[in-house]
Amino acid sequence: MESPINKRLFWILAVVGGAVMAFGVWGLFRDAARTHPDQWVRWFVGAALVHDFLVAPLVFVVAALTRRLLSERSRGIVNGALIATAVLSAMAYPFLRGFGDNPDNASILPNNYALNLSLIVGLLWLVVAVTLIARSRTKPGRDERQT
Amino acid sequence: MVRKPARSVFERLTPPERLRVGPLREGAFHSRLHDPRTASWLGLALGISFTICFVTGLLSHFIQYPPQWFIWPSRPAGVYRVSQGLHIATGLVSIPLLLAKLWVVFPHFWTWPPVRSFVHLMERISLLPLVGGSLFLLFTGLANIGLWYPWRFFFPAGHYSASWITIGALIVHIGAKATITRMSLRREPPEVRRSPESRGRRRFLALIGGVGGMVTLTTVGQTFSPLNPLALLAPRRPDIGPQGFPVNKTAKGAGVTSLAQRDSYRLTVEGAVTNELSLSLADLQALPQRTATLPIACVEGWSASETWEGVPVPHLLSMAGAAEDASVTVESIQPMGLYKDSELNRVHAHDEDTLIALKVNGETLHIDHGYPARLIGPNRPGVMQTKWVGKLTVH
Repeated sequence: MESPINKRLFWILAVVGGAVMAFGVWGLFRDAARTHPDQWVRWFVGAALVHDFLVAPLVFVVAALTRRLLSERSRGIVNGALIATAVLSAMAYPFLRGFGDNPDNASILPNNYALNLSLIVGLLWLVVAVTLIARSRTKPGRDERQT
Repeated sequence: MVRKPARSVFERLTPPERLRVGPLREGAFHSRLHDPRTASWLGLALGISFTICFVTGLLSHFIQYPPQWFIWPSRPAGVYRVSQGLHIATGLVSIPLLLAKLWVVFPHFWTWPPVRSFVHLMERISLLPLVGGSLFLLFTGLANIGLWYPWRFFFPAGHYSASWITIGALIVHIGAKATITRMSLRREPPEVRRSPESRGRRRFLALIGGVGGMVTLTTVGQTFSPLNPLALLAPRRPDIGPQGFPVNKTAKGAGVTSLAQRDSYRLTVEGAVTNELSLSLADLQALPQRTATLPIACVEGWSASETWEGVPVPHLLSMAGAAEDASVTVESIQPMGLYKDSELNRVHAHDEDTLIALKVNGETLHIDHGYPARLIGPNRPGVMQTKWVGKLTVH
Protein backbone atom coordinates (compact mmCIF):
# COMPACT_ATOMS: atom_id res chain seq x y z
CA MET A 1 0.00 0.00 0.00
CA GLU A 2 1.26 3.45 -0.86
CA SER A 3 1.73 5.40 2.36
CA PRO A 4 0.17 8.84 2.32
CA ILE A 5 2.65 11.59 1.59
CA ASN A 6 2.40 15.33 1.33
CA LYS A 7 4.37 15.80 -1.88
CA ARG A 8 4.87 19.53 -1.42
CA LEU A 9 6.29 19.11 2.09
CA PHE A 10 8.37 16.17 0.87
CA TRP A 11 10.05 18.18 -1.87
CA ILE A 12 10.65 21.23 0.32
CA LEU A 13 12.31 19.14 3.03
CA ALA A 14 14.11 17.02 0.41
CA VAL A 15 15.76 20.18 -0.91
CA VAL A 16 16.59 21.50 2.58
CA GLY A 17 17.81 18.11 3.84
CA GLY A 18 19.72 17.54 0.60
CA ALA A 19 21.51 20.85 1.06
CA VAL A 20 22.41 19.98 4.65
CA MET A 21 23.73 16.59 3.51
CA ALA A 22 25.70 18.27 0.72
CA PHE A 23 27.26 20.57 3.32
CA GLY A 24 28.28 17.49 5.33
CA VAL A 25 29.81 15.79 2.28
CA TRP A 26 31.61 19.00 1.34
CA GLY A 27 33.06 19.22 4.87
CA LEU A 28 34.08 15.60 4.73
CA PHE A 29 36.20 16.16 1.62
CA ARG A 30 37.44 19.63 2.57
CA ASP A 31 38.80 18.13 5.79
CA ALA A 32 40.04 14.97 4.04
CA ALA A 33 43.40 14.98 5.83
CA ARG A 34 41.58 14.34 9.09
CA THR A 35 38.42 12.53 7.95
CA HIS A 36 40.10 10.00 5.59
CA PRO A 37 36.96 9.85 3.39
CA ASP A 38 37.78 6.45 1.87
CA GLN A 39 37.90 4.80 5.28
CA TRP A 40 35.12 6.96 6.67
CA VAL A 41 32.78 5.78 3.88
CA ARG A 42 33.61 2.17 4.66
CA TRP A 43 32.53 2.67 8.29
CA PHE A 44 29.46 4.67 7.27
CA VAL A 45 28.15 2.20 4.69
CA GLY A 46 29.53 -0.76 6.62
CA ALA A 47 27.46 0.20 9.68
CA ALA A 48 24.25 0.00 7.63
CA LEU A 49 25.26 -3.26 5.94
CA VAL A 50 26.28 -4.93 9.18
CA HIS A 51 22.97 -3.93 10.73
CA ASP A 52 20.74 -4.88 7.80
CA PHE A 53 22.37 -8.15 6.83
CA LEU A 54 23.84 -9.39 10.10
CA VAL A 55 22.38 -7.85 13.25
CA ALA A 56 18.75 -7.60 12.13
CA PRO A 57 18.56 -11.13 10.64
CA LEU A 58 20.12 -12.46 13.84
CA VAL A 59 17.39 -10.76 15.87
CA PHE A 60 14.73 -12.37 13.66
CA VAL A 61 16.38 -15.77 14.07
CA VAL A 62 16.33 -15.39 17.87
CA ALA A 63 12.73 -14.19 17.71
CA ALA A 64 11.81 -17.24 15.62
CA LEU A 65 13.48 -19.46 18.20
CA THR A 66 11.60 -17.95 21.14
CA ARG A 67 8.40 -18.21 19.09
CA ARG A 68 9.02 -21.91 18.60
CA LEU A 69 10.35 -22.76 22.05
CA LEU A 70 8.33 -20.63 24.44
CA SER A 71 4.67 -20.40 25.26
CA GLU A 72 2.73 -17.29 24.33
CA ARG A 73 2.60 -16.40 28.03
CA SER A 74 6.32 -16.40 28.74
CA ARG A 75 7.55 -15.19 25.37
CA GLY A 76 6.94 -11.49 25.92
CA ILE A 77 8.92 -11.19 29.13
CA VAL A 78 11.76 -13.39 27.84
CA ASN A 79 12.00 -11.39 24.61
CA GLY A 80 12.03 -8.21 26.68
CA ALA A 81 14.84 -9.47 28.87
CA LEU A 82 16.76 -10.58 25.76
CA ILE A 83 16.42 -7.09 24.29
CA ALA A 84 17.62 -5.44 27.51
CA THR A 85 20.51 -7.90 27.79
CA ALA A 86 21.55 -7.33 24.17
CA VAL A 87 21.44 -3.54 24.38
CA LEU A 88 23.31 -3.30 27.70
CA SER A 89 25.90 -5.81 26.52
CA ALA A 90 26.42 -3.98 23.23
CA MET A 91 26.86 -0.70 25.07
CA ALA A 92 29.25 -2.14 27.64
CA TYR A 93 31.20 -4.28 25.15
CA PRO A 94 33.93 -1.76 24.25
CA PHE A 95 34.41 -0.96 27.94
CA LEU A 96 34.33 -4.60 28.97
CA ARG A 97 37.00 -5.48 26.45
CA GLY A 98 39.09 -2.54 27.67
CA PHE A 99 39.96 -1.39 24.15
CA GLY A 100 40.69 2.13 25.39
CA ASP A 101 42.64 1.10 28.49
CA ASN A 102 45.84 2.94 29.19
CA PRO A 103 48.24 1.50 31.79
CA ASP A 104 49.33 5.05 32.77
CA ASN A 105 45.80 6.23 33.42
CA ALA A 106 43.72 4.37 35.97
CA SER A 107 40.82 6.82 35.58
CA ILE A 108 40.03 5.39 32.13
CA LEU A 109 37.48 2.54 32.29
CA PRO A 110 37.78 2.21 36.07
CA ASN A 111 34.90 -0.22 36.60
CA ASN A 112 34.91 -4.00 36.51
CA TYR A 113 32.57 -4.03 33.53
CA ALA A 114 32.32 -7.81 33.18
CA LEU A 115 31.26 -8.14 36.81
CA ASN A 116 28.90 -5.16 36.72
CA LEU A 117 27.23 -6.25 33.51
CA SER A 118 26.80 -9.77 34.88
CA LEU A 119 25.26 -8.34 38.06
CA ILE A 120 22.76 -6.18 36.20
CA VAL A 121 21.86 -8.84 33.65
CA GLY A 122 21.77 -11.52 36.35
CA LEU A 123 19.37 -9.45 38.42
CA LEU A 124 17.22 -8.89 35.35
CA TRP A 125 16.96 -12.62 34.60
CA LEU A 126 16.28 -13.34 38.25
CA VAL A 127 13.27 -11.03 38.03
CA VAL A 128 12.22 -12.81 34.81
CA ALA A 129 12.53 -16.23 36.47
CA VAL A 130 10.57 -15.17 39.55
CA THR A 131 7.86 -13.62 37.38
CA LEU A 132 7.57 -16.73 35.22
CA ILE A 133 7.34 -19.01 38.27
CA ALA A 134 4.77 -16.77 39.90
CA ARG A 135 2.74 -16.70 36.69
CA SER A 136 2.87 -20.46 36.26
CA ARG A 137 1.13 -20.80 39.63
CA THR A 138 -1.77 -18.58 38.64
CA LYS A 139 -4.40 -19.23 36.02
CA PRO A 140 -4.05 -17.47 32.67
CA GLY A 141 -5.60 -14.02 32.76
CA ARG A 142 -8.41 -13.02 30.48
CA ASP A 143 -6.43 -10.96 28.03
CA GLU A 144 -3.69 -13.55 27.83
CA ARG A 145 -6.19 -16.19 26.71
CA GLN A 146 -7.34 -13.86 23.99
CA THR A 147 -3.91 -13.36 22.42
CA MET B 1 -13.53 0.64 -25.40
CA VAL B 2 -11.68 0.76 -22.11
CA ARG B 3 -8.11 1.85 -22.30
CA LYS B 4 -5.68 0.46 -19.81
CA PRO B 5 -4.09 3.20 -17.74
CA ALA B 6 -0.48 3.84 -18.82
CA ARG B 7 2.01 1.98 -16.66
CA SER B 8 4.61 4.10 -14.96
CA VAL B 9 8.33 3.52 -15.43
CA PHE B 10 8.48 2.00 -11.97
CA GLU B 11 5.64 -0.42 -12.58
CA ARG B 12 7.38 -1.62 -15.72
CA LEU B 13 10.65 -1.98 -13.77
CA THR B 14 9.08 -4.19 -11.10
CA PRO B 15 11.04 -7.44 -11.01
CA PRO B 16 9.19 -10.67 -11.89
CA GLU B 17 7.13 -12.14 -9.06
CA ARG B 18 9.24 -15.32 -8.97
CA LEU B 19 12.08 -13.28 -7.43
CA ARG B 20 9.86 -12.51 -4.46
CA VAL B 21 11.41 -14.98 -2.04
CA GLY B 22 12.54 -15.09 1.60
CA PRO B 23 11.90 -11.83 3.45
CA LEU B 24 10.38 -10.36 0.27
CA ARG B 25 7.39 -12.71 0.52
CA GLU B 26 4.00 -11.38 1.56
CA GLY B 27 3.58 -11.93 5.30
CA ALA B 28 7.22 -12.82 5.89
CA PHE B 29 7.17 -10.76 9.07
CA HIS B 30 4.77 -11.92 11.77
CA SER B 31 4.88 -9.42 14.60
CA ARG B 32 2.06 -6.93 14.90
CA LEU B 33 4.62 -4.43 16.20
CA HIS B 34 5.83 -3.73 12.65
CA ASP B 35 3.19 -1.03 12.36
CA PRO B 36 3.23 2.70 11.60
CA ARG B 37 2.09 3.71 15.09
CA THR B 38 4.97 1.94 16.85
CA ALA B 39 7.39 3.31 14.25
CA SER B 40 5.97 6.81 14.71
CA TRP B 41 6.39 6.85 18.49
CA LEU B 42 9.95 5.61 18.24
CA GLY B 43 10.61 7.98 15.34
CA LEU B 44 9.33 10.89 17.39
CA ALA B 45 11.57 9.94 20.33
CA LEU B 46 14.57 9.59 18.01
CA GLY B 47 13.76 12.88 16.31
CA ILE B 48 13.97 14.56 19.71
CA SER B 49 17.10 12.72 20.88
CA PHE B 50 18.95 13.26 17.60
CA THR B 51 18.03 16.95 17.61
CA ILE B 52 19.39 17.32 21.14
CA CYS B 53 22.56 15.48 20.13
CA PHE B 54 22.98 17.61 17.03
CA VAL B 55 22.45 20.94 18.78
CA THR B 56 24.68 20.12 21.77
CA GLY B 57 27.32 18.64 19.47
CA LEU B 58 27.29 21.69 17.22
CA LEU B 59 27.55 23.93 20.28
CA SER B 60 30.61 22.00 21.48
CA HIS B 61 32.09 22.31 17.98
CA PHE B 62 31.52 26.09 17.92
CA ILE B 63 33.07 26.49 21.37
CA GLN B 64 36.20 24.68 20.21
CA TYR B 65 36.33 26.17 16.71
CA PRO B 66 34.52 29.50 17.15
CA PRO B 67 33.33 31.27 14.02
CA GLN B 68 33.78 35.07 13.93
CA TRP B 69 30.28 35.82 15.21
CA PHE B 70 30.36 33.33 18.07
CA ILE B 71 31.44 34.50 21.54
CA TRP B 72 30.89 31.71 24.07
CA PRO B 73 30.04 33.24 27.48
CA SER B 74 31.84 32.20 30.65
CA ARG B 75 28.61 32.24 32.69
CA PRO B 76 26.74 30.32 33.96
CA ALA B 77 29.80 28.21 34.74
CA GLY B 78 28.09 24.84 34.22
CA VAL B 79 26.35 25.27 30.86
CA TYR B 80 28.96 23.28 28.95
CA ARG B 81 28.93 20.55 31.55
CA VAL B 82 25.15 20.14 31.22
CA SER B 83 25.11 20.48 27.46
CA GLN B 84 27.88 17.94 26.88
CA GLY B 85 26.55 15.59 29.55
CA LEU B 86 23.23 15.75 27.70
CA HIS B 87 24.98 15.06 24.37
CA ILE B 88 26.43 11.80 25.66
CA ALA B 89 23.36 10.77 27.68
CA THR B 90 20.97 11.30 24.75
CA GLY B 91 23.41 9.57 22.42
CA LEU B 92 23.50 6.53 24.69
CA VAL B 93 19.73 6.42 25.17
CA SER B 94 19.37 6.60 21.37
CA ILE B 95 21.03 3.17 21.08
CA PRO B 96 17.94 1.18 22.19
CA LEU B 97 15.62 3.67 20.46
CA LEU B 98 17.41 3.33 17.13
CA LEU B 99 17.72 -0.44 17.27
CA ALA B 100 14.03 -0.76 18.16
CA LYS B 101 13.04 1.63 15.37
CA LEU B 102 15.10 -0.23 12.79
CA TRP B 103 13.56 -3.52 13.89
CA VAL B 104 10.02 -2.12 13.66
CA VAL B 105 10.49 -0.79 10.12
CA PHE B 106 12.70 -3.65 8.92
CA PRO B 107 9.92 -5.19 6.75
CA HIS B 108 9.97 -1.99 4.66
CA PHE B 109 13.53 -2.82 3.72
CA TRP B 110 12.09 -5.88 1.92
CA THR B 111 9.03 -4.10 0.55
CA TRP B 112 7.57 -5.28 -2.78
CA PRO B 113 7.81 -3.89 -5.37
CA PRO B 114 11.20 -2.46 -4.33
CA VAL B 115 10.46 0.92 -5.89
CA ARG B 116 6.96 2.22 -6.47
CA SER B 117 7.46 5.78 -7.58
CA PHE B 118 10.03 8.50 -7.93
CA VAL B 119 9.20 9.86 -4.46
CA HIS B 120 9.50 6.34 -3.04
CA LEU B 121 12.87 5.94 -4.75
CA MET B 122 14.12 9.25 -3.32
CA GLU B 123 12.87 8.34 0.12
CA ARG B 124 14.59 4.95 -0.01
CA ILE B 125 17.87 6.47 -1.21
CA SER B 126 17.79 8.92 1.71
CA LEU B 127 17.61 5.96 4.09
CA LEU B 128 21.23 4.96 3.45
CA PRO B 129 22.65 8.21 4.88
CA LEU B 130 20.00 8.15 7.61
CA VAL B 131 20.57 4.57 8.78
CA GLY B 132 24.30 4.45 8.01
CA GLY B 133 24.79 7.87 9.58
CA SER B 134 22.78 7.12 12.72
CA LEU B 135 24.61 3.85 13.34
CA PHE B 136 27.95 5.49 12.52
CA LEU B 137 27.32 8.34 14.97
CA LEU B 138 26.19 6.09 17.81
CA PHE B 139 28.95 3.54 17.29
CA THR B 140 31.80 6.03 16.91
CA GLY B 141 30.45 8.08 19.81
CA LEU B 142 30.25 5.02 22.05
CA ALA B 143 33.78 3.95 21.11
CA ASN B 144 35.05 7.48 21.71
CA ILE B 145 33.73 7.72 25.26
CA GLY B 146 35.62 4.47 25.89
CA LEU B 147 38.69 6.03 24.21
CA TRP B 148 38.69 3.27 21.57
CA TYR B 149 39.68 4.29 18.04
CA PRO B 150 39.58 1.30 15.67
CA TRP B 151 39.72 3.60 12.59
CA ARG B 152 42.19 5.97 10.97
CA PHE B 153 40.06 9.12 10.75
CA PHE B 154 40.22 11.76 13.48
CA PHE B 155 37.13 11.08 15.59
CA PRO B 156 35.78 14.65 16.03
CA ALA B 157 36.16 15.42 12.31
CA GLY B 158 34.55 12.16 11.17
CA HIS B 159 31.74 12.41 13.73
CA TYR B 160 31.12 16.04 12.76
CA SER B 161 30.77 15.35 9.02
CA ALA B 162 28.53 12.37 9.72
CA SER B 163 26.29 14.49 11.95
CA TRP B 164 25.50 16.98 9.15
CA ILE B 165 24.82 14.17 6.70
CA THR B 166 22.60 12.33 9.18
CA ILE B 167 20.63 15.42 10.18
CA GLY B 168 20.16 16.28 6.49
CA ALA B 169 18.87 12.76 5.84
CA LEU B 170 16.61 13.07 8.89
CA ILE B 171 15.10 16.26 7.45
CA VAL B 172 14.37 14.42 4.17
CA HIS B 173 12.91 11.53 6.16
CA ILE B 174 10.65 13.87 8.15
CA GLY B 175 9.35 15.25 4.86
CA ALA B 176 8.57 11.74 3.68
CA LYS B 177 6.98 10.56 6.92
CA ALA B 178 5.30 13.64 8.41
CA THR B 179 1.84 12.75 7.08
CA ILE B 180 1.83 9.09 8.06
CA THR B 181 3.31 9.96 11.46
CA ARG B 182 0.60 12.52 12.15
CA MET B 183 -2.08 10.06 11.07
CA SER B 184 -0.66 7.17 13.08
CA LEU B 185 -0.27 9.16 16.26
CA ARG B 186 -3.95 10.14 16.39
CA ARG B 187 -5.55 9.29 19.70
CA GLU B 188 -6.93 5.77 19.68
CA PRO B 189 -10.66 5.29 20.39
CA PRO B 190 -11.21 3.40 23.70
CA GLU B 191 -12.17 0.13 22.01
CA VAL B 192 -8.94 0.21 19.97
CA ARG B 193 -6.93 1.01 23.07
CA ARG B 194 -8.23 -2.19 24.68
CA SER B 195 -7.25 -4.32 21.70
CA PRO B 196 -4.34 -6.77 22.01
CA GLU B 197 -2.48 -4.84 19.27
CA SER B 198 -2.62 -1.62 21.20
CA ARG B 199 -1.68 -3.26 24.50
CA GLY B 200 1.19 -5.12 22.87
CA ARG B 201 2.45 -1.89 21.36
CA ARG B 202 2.32 -0.06 24.68
CA ARG B 203 4.17 -2.93 26.36
CA PHE B 204 6.86 -2.87 23.66
CA LEU B 205 7.30 0.90 23.87
CA ALA B 206 7.43 0.71 27.68
CA LEU B 207 10.07 -2.00 27.37
CA ILE B 208 12.23 0.12 25.06
CA GLY B 209 11.74 3.09 27.38
CA GLY B 210 12.75 0.88 30.28
CA VAL B 211 15.90 -0.28 28.50
CA GLY B 212 16.69 3.37 27.74
CA GLY B 213 16.20 4.10 31.44
CA MET B 214 18.62 1.31 32.38
CA VAL B 215 21.19 2.66 29.92
CA THR B 216 20.86 6.11 31.47
CA LEU B 217 20.84 4.97 35.10
CA THR B 218 23.99 2.89 34.68
CA THR B 219 25.97 5.63 32.91
CA VAL B 220 24.74 9.14 33.70
CA GLY B 221 26.48 9.14 37.10
CA GLN B 222 29.69 9.93 35.20
CA THR B 223 28.50 13.51 34.99
CA PHE B 224 25.53 13.68 37.41
CA SER B 225 27.27 12.83 40.67
CA PRO B 226 24.18 11.95 42.77
CA LEU B 227 23.81 8.90 40.50
CA ASN B 228 27.52 8.04 40.62
CA PRO B 229 26.93 4.94 42.79
CA LEU B 230 24.77 3.50 39.98
CA ALA B 231 27.25 4.28 37.18
CA LEU B 232 28.24 0.63 36.90
CA LEU B 233 28.67 0.75 33.13
CA ALA B 234 29.99 4.30 32.78
CA PRO B 235 33.38 4.64 31.09
CA ARG B 236 34.43 7.19 33.75
CA ARG B 237 33.66 7.85 37.39
CA PRO B 238 33.78 11.47 38.55
CA ASP B 239 35.53 10.40 41.79
CA ILE B 240 38.21 8.11 40.31
CA GLY B 241 41.59 9.46 39.27
CA PRO B 242 44.54 11.26 40.82
CA GLN B 243 43.29 13.57 43.61
CA GLY B 244 39.83 12.08 43.18
CA PHE B 245 38.81 13.02 39.64
CA PRO B 246 39.56 11.70 36.15
CA VAL B 247 42.36 12.54 33.74
CA ASN B 248 42.27 12.34 29.97
CA LYS B 249 45.90 12.97 29.05
CA THR B 250 48.54 11.95 31.54
CA ALA B 251 51.87 13.76 31.92
CA LYS B 252 53.59 10.70 30.53
CA GLY B 253 51.23 10.58 27.57
CA ALA B 254 51.91 14.25 26.83
CA GLY B 255 55.66 13.77 27.31
CA VAL B 256 55.98 16.51 29.94
CA THR B 257 56.93 14.53 33.05
CA SER B 258 60.46 15.91 33.32
CA LEU B 259 59.78 19.28 31.66
CA ALA B 260 57.05 20.07 34.19
CA GLN B 261 59.28 19.35 37.17
CA ARG B 262 62.28 21.47 36.18
CA ASP B 263 63.27 24.43 38.37
CA SER B 264 63.67 26.44 35.20
CA TYR B 265 59.87 26.36 34.71
CA ARG B 266 58.51 29.81 33.83
CA LEU B 267 55.10 31.11 32.90
CA THR B 268 55.53 33.91 30.38
CA VAL B 269 52.95 36.51 29.38
CA GLU B 270 53.75 38.07 26.01
CA GLY B 271 52.24 39.39 22.80
CA ALA B 272 50.16 42.59 22.88
CA VAL B 273 51.37 43.71 26.33
CA THR B 274 53.29 46.71 27.65
CA ASN B 275 55.16 44.67 30.22
CA GLU B 276 56.21 41.09 29.39
CA LEU B 277 56.17 38.73 32.35
CA SER B 278 58.27 35.70 33.16
CA LEU B 279 57.17 34.08 36.40
CA SER B 280 58.61 31.12 38.27
CA LEU B 281 56.39 28.83 40.30
CA ALA B 282 57.46 30.73 43.46
CA ASP B 283 56.52 34.04 41.76
CA LEU B 284 53.10 32.64 40.93
CA GLN B 285 52.62 31.38 44.48
CA ALA B 286 53.51 34.85 45.80
CA LEU B 287 50.75 36.54 43.79
CA PRO B 288 47.24 36.99 45.24
CA GLN B 289 45.41 33.67 44.99
CA ARG B 290 41.76 33.10 44.27
CA THR B 291 39.63 30.05 45.00
CA ALA B 292 36.83 28.92 42.70
CA THR B 293 34.69 25.79 42.58
CA LEU B 294 34.41 24.90 38.92
CA PRO B 295 33.52 21.79 36.95
CA ILE B 296 36.01 20.08 34.72
CA ALA B 297 33.76 18.84 31.94
CA CYS B 298 35.13 16.57 29.27
CA VAL B 299 33.81 16.37 25.72
CA GLU B 300 33.52 12.63 26.38
CA GLY B 301 30.69 13.38 28.77
CA TRP B 302 32.12 12.99 32.25
CA SER B 303 32.41 15.93 34.59
CA ALA B 304 33.47 16.63 38.15
CA SER B 305 33.27 19.72 40.29
CA GLU B 306 36.47 20.63 42.14
CA THR B 307 37.78 23.55 44.17
CA TRP B 308 40.69 25.20 42.42
CA GLU B 309 43.14 27.79 43.71
CA GLY B 310 45.46 29.96 41.69
CA VAL B 311 46.15 33.29 40.06
CA PRO B 312 43.26 34.87 38.12
CA VAL B 313 44.15 35.36 34.46
CA PRO B 314 42.71 38.94 34.51
CA HIS B 315 45.24 39.76 37.25
CA LEU B 316 48.13 38.54 35.10
CA LEU B 317 46.73 40.49 32.14
CA SER B 318 46.57 43.74 34.09
CA MET B 319 50.10 43.15 35.48
CA ALA B 320 51.29 42.78 31.89
CA GLY B 321 49.34 45.83 30.76
CA ALA B 322 47.08 44.01 28.28
CA ALA B 323 44.08 45.76 26.73
CA GLU B 324 40.63 45.50 28.35
CA ASP B 325 39.27 43.47 25.46
CA ALA B 326 42.32 41.28 24.96
CA SER B 327 41.95 37.61 24.08
CA VAL B 328 44.63 35.09 24.99
CA THR B 329 46.23 31.94 23.63
CA VAL B 330 47.18 29.61 26.46
CA GLU B 331 50.00 27.27 25.56
CA SER B 332 51.27 24.18 27.31
CA ILE B 333 54.92 23.26 27.70
CA GLN B 334 54.04 19.83 26.32
CA PRO B 335 56.17 19.20 23.22
CA MET B 336 53.27 18.20 20.97
CA GLY B 337 49.67 17.15 20.93
CA LEU B 338 46.47 18.35 19.35
CA TYR B 339 45.30 20.07 22.49
CA LYS B 340 48.54 21.73 23.59
CA ASP B 341 46.97 25.18 23.40
CA SER B 342 43.58 26.80 23.78
CA GLU B 343 41.97 30.17 23.25
CA LEU B 344 40.49 32.40 25.93
CA ASN B 345 38.06 34.73 24.19
CA ARG B 346 37.74 38.23 25.64
CA VAL B 347 34.93 37.15 27.98
CA HIS B 348 36.77 34.12 29.37
CA ALA B 349 40.09 36.01 29.60
CA HIS B 350 38.50 38.63 31.88
CA ASP B 351 36.41 36.36 34.09
CA GLU B 352 37.80 36.54 37.65
CA ASP B 353 37.36 32.77 38.01
CA THR B 354 39.52 31.97 34.99
CA LEU B 355 42.57 30.81 36.88
CA ILE B 356 46.09 29.68 36.35
CA ALA B 357 45.50 27.07 39.03
CA LEU B 358 48.31 25.80 41.25
CA LYS B 359 46.21 23.78 43.67
CA VAL B 360 43.10 21.65 43.65
CA ASN B 361 41.06 20.79 46.75
CA GLY B 362 43.82 22.29 48.90
CA GLU B 363 46.63 20.16 47.43
CA THR B 364 49.36 21.01 44.95
CA LEU B 365 48.20 19.85 41.50
CA HIS B 366 49.07 16.27 40.62
CA ILE B 367 51.33 16.19 37.58
CA ASP B 368 48.57 14.45 35.59
CA HIS B 369 46.28 17.36 36.43
CA GLY B 370 48.81 19.86 35.07
CA TYR B 371 51.47 20.59 37.73
CA PRO B 372 52.94 23.16 38.10
CA ALA B 373 50.13 25.28 36.67
CA ARG B 374 47.01 24.67 34.63
CA LEU B 375 44.25 26.72 33.15
CA ILE B 376 40.82 26.25 34.67
CA GLY B 377 37.93 28.50 33.75
CA PRO B 378 34.16 28.51 34.00
CA ASN B 379 32.03 27.01 31.24
CA ARG B 380 34.80 25.47 29.13
CA PRO B 381 35.31 22.01 27.60
CA GLY B 382 38.01 19.97 29.34
CA VAL B 383 40.23 19.96 26.25
CA MET B 384 40.36 23.75 26.52
CA GLN B 385 41.49 23.67 30.16
CA THR B 386 45.14 23.55 29.10
CA LYS B 387 47.51 21.76 31.48
CA TRP B 388 51.22 22.42 32.19
CA VAL B 389 50.75 26.05 31.10
CA GLY B 390 53.97 27.79 30.02
CA LYS B 391 52.88 30.76 27.92
CA LEU B 392 50.04 33.23 27.62
CA THR B 393 50.06 35.10 24.32
CA VAL B 394 47.89 38.21 24.40
CA HIS B 395 46.06 39.39 21.26
